[in-house]
Amino acid sequence: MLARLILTIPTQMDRVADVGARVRAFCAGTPLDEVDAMEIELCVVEALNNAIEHGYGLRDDGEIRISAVRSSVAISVELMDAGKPIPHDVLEGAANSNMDFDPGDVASLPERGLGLPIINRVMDRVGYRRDGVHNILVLTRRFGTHAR
Amino acid sequence: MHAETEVVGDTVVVTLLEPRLDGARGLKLRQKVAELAAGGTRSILLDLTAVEFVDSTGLGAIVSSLKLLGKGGRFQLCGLSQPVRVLLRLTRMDQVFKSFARREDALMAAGSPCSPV
Repeated sequence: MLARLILTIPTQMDRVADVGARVRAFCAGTPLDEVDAMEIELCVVEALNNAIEHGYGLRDDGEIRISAVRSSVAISVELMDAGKPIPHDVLEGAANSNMDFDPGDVASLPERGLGLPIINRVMDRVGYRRDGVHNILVLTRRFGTHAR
Repeated sequence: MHAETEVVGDTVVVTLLEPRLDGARGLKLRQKVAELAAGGTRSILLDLTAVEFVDSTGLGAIVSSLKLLGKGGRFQLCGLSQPVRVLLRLTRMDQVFKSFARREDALMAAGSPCSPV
């Protein structure tokens, strides 16, 4: 049986936290544990931050639709907005990133650009498409795939 | 950003008082650390006991703050909530920052007496 959560927010940074918290709460009742839910909350926050900052240039006149679905095997969160497209090289670079830095080399530590690598690390599938007007980012986490 | 600062020995303890550390607050943290570093501070303990959530921009501010102290500087964390520990683990930054459950333990490790100056 599917359960669904649908939210729409304006592209305002102060609206992001609540969405993250709602999606984290939506993870209850699935096999995901509390840490899994925290990781998914973080991913949703990072995706929304990116949409507002990079897709809309921090303009607050846009809208983002968030649709979360949970089934017996996975939870999926779809984020749809009408901002600028995500550049292919950004998606590609993040997918290949393993946050490989030398912890002892302070000067080389990344200060930015960790959002998409975090998402790729937490989620089992990150899908992106553009329907001409909208960015549609789909984050999927299957149950039982992340041993800890 | 609501924060308190306290000098304990040669360490400045910066206690964040808001539940989230993200973009705008991260900038203010970085500014605060820049001021302290410019004034000669070389050891900072960031107390995150009140912080429930940090995103990657907040983490970026913490990393930037570490860099501001330069070689020989010490930047430690204490009071990490579980979501913050999750973020550090996911990004491998748990291998970069020394963190402690309690402020007192961090100050002992820094060699600072536990009583404020």
